[in-house]
Amino acid sequence: METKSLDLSVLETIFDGDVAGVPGFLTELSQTVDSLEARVVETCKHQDWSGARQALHEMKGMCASSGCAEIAQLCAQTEVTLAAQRYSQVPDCVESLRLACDRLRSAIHEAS
Amino acid sequence: MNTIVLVDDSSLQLRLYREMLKLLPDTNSIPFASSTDALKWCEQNEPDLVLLDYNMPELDGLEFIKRFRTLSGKVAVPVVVITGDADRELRRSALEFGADDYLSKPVDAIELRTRVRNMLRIREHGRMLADKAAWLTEEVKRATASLVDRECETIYRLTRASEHSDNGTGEHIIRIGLFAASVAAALGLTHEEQELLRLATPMHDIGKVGTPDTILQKAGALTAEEWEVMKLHTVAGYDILRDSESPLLQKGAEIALSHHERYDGTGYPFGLADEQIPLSGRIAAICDVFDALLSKRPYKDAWPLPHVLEHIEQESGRHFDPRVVAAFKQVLPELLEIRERVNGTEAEDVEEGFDGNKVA
Repeated sequence: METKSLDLSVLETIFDGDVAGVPGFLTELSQTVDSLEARVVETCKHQDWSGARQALHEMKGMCASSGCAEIAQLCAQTEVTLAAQRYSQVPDCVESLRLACDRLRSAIHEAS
Repeated sequence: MNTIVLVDDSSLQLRLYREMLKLLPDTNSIPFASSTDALKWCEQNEPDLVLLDYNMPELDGLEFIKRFRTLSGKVAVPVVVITGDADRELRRSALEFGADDYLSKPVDAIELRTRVRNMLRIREHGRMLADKAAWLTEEVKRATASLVDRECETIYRLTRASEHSDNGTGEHIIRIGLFAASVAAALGLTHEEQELLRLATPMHDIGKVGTPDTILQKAGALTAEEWEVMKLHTVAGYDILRDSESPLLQKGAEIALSHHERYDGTGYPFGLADEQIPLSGRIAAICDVFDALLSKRPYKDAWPLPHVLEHIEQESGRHFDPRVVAAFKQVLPELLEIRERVNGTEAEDVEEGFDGNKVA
């Protein structure tokens, strides 16, 4: 089953029918994803694995809670890759993550 | 209104939690992106629940809980820790360190609301129990105080009955208790000891219930035989009061037995001397003589104050303990003020002085 970039039903449950708050939240979500994505890319580029793990962990938690399951899943996979010290696979993981972030931005754009 | 403290270094996460909790009635969420700031706020305020992300810079979740629990009044405040799915060890540690519950990420809105509602309910019940415990403690205190008051009143009335044939007004027993407490204070006795003497000294002559009125009310000097009967009131008083579990009656028994002993060993019933005589007896002796000499009795007129003081001075080291005489002199103005105040007072008025502190 395909994992959704953005599951709006999760946000609807959180906002419990108060849909007026959703667009503002999506804008904030988009900005936060941008910032965390940049941190992941930067730390991995400089092989700062501890910093990368921290950024991935934050991104995973935030995306999982916000209905962004695809990114949450990729963050988890990358965390496992780092924990296993399979550093040669990290660039592919980061690339997948970047593409997922692009898809999320499109989904946010559509939803807004 | 319940106050929920939210602690997470991600502002987006904080916003999500606030949204999730917005619909809970009577709740107000206060978000903190810094765990240190949250802890500082908790030092000065009273949260009803803390919702805490484990993974934070500065203080992490465990350190936060450790410090939070040491803050005044925060032992019973529920703390819910939010951890990742895989952090089983962390969840255990959080519970060991004093967290009340945990939630796994991703946090489900409905689960969060339910857990928070349950925790607030537990908090409310805890408060009610604490209130009830405080109320019960207060009730027990009140009931105990009432029992003590009744014990004091019963003793006062019985003591008054014993004094009735000898010195009917009841004022002497009030005064002697107040005198004894003042002298005890000058001797450096504790407040509790002063109070005990205030309440127990009036029982000094309770043994006179067994002394015939013909002796008690005799206008002239007693014969040697009558004098021997009179002396028995000390032992009779002791017999009446001894073997009680009440510290007050125990002290009363001690005073009844010893208040006619003399410092030089020539008193009765045992001819004890110096510190063989209990301090309570030495204090009661001077207070009794002071008040008796200033009062008119069937067998004597009231002495003028200078004569009384001269007599007490002369009897220092003979009848009275010099240390107690010194304390007596130190509080003499206070004793005269008491005598002035508790003189000619109706018995019903002075009862209050016996039970409580109105007269004292």
